[in-house]
Amino acid sequence: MLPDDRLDALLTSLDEGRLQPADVDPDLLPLVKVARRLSHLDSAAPSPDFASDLHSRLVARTAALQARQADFADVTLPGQSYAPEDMTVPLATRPLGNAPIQRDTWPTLSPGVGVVDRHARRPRRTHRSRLFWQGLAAAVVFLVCGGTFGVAAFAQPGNPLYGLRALESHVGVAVAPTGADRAQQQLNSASAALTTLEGVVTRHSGDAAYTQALAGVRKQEAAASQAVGSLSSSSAYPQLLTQLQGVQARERADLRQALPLVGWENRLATTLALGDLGDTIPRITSASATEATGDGGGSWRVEIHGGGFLPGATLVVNGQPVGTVLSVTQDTLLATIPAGAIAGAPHALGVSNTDGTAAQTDQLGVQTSGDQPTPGPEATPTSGDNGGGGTGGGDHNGTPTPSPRK
Amino acid sequence: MEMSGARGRAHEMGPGNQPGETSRERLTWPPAVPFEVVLRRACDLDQAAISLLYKRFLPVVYRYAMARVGDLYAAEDVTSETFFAMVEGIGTTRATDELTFAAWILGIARNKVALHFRALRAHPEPRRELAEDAHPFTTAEEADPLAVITARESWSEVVAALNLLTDEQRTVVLYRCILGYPTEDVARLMEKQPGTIRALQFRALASLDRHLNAQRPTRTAGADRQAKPHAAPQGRKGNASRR
Repeated sequence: MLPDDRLDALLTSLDEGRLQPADVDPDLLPLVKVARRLSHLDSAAPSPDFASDLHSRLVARTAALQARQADFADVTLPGQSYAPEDMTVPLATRPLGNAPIQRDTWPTLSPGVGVVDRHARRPRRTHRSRLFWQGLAAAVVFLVCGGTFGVAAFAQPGNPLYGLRALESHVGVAVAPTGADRAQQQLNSASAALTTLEGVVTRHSGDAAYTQALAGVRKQEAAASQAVGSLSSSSAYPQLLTQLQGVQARERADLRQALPLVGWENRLATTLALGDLGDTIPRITSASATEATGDGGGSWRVEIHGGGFLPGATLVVNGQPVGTVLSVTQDTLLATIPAGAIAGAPHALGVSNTDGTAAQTDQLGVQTSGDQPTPGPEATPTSGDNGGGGTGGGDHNGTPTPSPRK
Repeated sequence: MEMSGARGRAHEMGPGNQPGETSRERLTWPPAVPFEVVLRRACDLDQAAISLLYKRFLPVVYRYAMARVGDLYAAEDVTSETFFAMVEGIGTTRATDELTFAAWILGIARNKVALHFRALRAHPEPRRELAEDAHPFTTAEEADPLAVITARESWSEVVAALNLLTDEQRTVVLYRCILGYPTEDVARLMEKQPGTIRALQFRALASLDRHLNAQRPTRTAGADRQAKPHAAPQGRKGNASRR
């Protein structure tokens, strides 16, 4: 037996009381003495005050950690119950159990410098805790997204979320399973757009909001018309067509109601929309303005040709009601602009009907007092000029060619 | 030094010791509460389970710290930091039984000791002697004032000698002779073969003997003159001085 093994056996025998020091091999006696001297500490114990104080602080720390944990699940194990007063564990120096140590599981106890115990420093995070935080994050994302889409569903024109509302409508149509469902969805969207327009008009939300709402109405109504029209051979077509006609009637009424409440540009756009719905609206095919002579200059004679002019129609110059209407028929309006009413020459002439509809053109012949009359081009309707049920631009009355302004 | 020194008397005079009983106490974990159950509940920060682990491993950690730092107050600091780290990190432990848990908590203690020495190198402070009211040793020793004084002086020398050993030698000596783990358990704790542990133990004790004799030549010589002429232990090749 090697001296190493003999020494180990000696120490074990002495520890277990199976050997007396006098029986120790003299060669190994010095080493046994040193070992016994070392083992002097194996009966040392911390002071009771220190042990009690540390225990109290550990319990407090444990309670604090428990309170900090997100999940407060009861971890009582079935069939296991013991109280702190059961802690009658004898203080001993030898542990029981001989289970093998899993490699790479524990901080190694072999000597080394600077070994970091990663287990001791890593914050505690249980599986349940991770699940809780993941669930919480998912709930927050769901609430934020759901809230955003929910708010967007009621967003009004002028709100940044109004575009998201249109996207929702588009998605709703895209996911519809059949053509009839898509048409129904489009009709619903058009109806919703009309509701929005009514709200804008009722609340006097301003021309910008009205422009956006009107564009939405026209887009949804056009899409609904196309969707319903594509189902002409379907059995659902009569019902859908009836719904479409109802939407269009409602749209017509809403637009008529809005006409006197909106600005000039929106009146022109609304008139165009009414024209698309089949209403009779004013249209301008040509217009001219001639500066009068002999009265000192500055006054203008205006002649506008087109159709849909109503009795009592007024002249609108450069977006402002100006001048005196001399005569108005269904297709001609004659008016004068007194001197000083406008600055310079007119560049846009329009007609405002008594029912609120309007038309305007900026393609006009202007003749000042020193100019020779020249044939003008056919007036090209502006945004309001193509009204009249798509018949605009058909007449040509040989208006003077616009001359350079002096 | 007599074999039946302070420690030996302490065990012999222990209240529960009976003739023929082993001189060292053995762990008797309450059989009604298996260690695995306690550990599982401690991982869920059950206060009673944490208290049980604390009660069980306080002396182990304290003795380890005491043997390493040789200072009562520093040992208490290391012990406190070790148990707080245990509470903080017990949710991540993969211990399945008592021995593996001992390995885990002693690993924490070892790192805390390393941090202590690192801080000591950065900010040296005068070594504190044991206070008169300190209680590092057993009640039985305190009944004998001479034994207490002798033990304290002796222990300071032992700690100084321990610090002259290699890390492996010191670890084997601590686990084997102070914490009282069997050779097979120490082998598992250090992930080595039992034969390697026995060889390390032999060389560590031989080196300690040499260092202790060098520190106190006169006292050792005087003591040995009364008993027996000191003979150097023989190693495998008859040379006890090899490491």
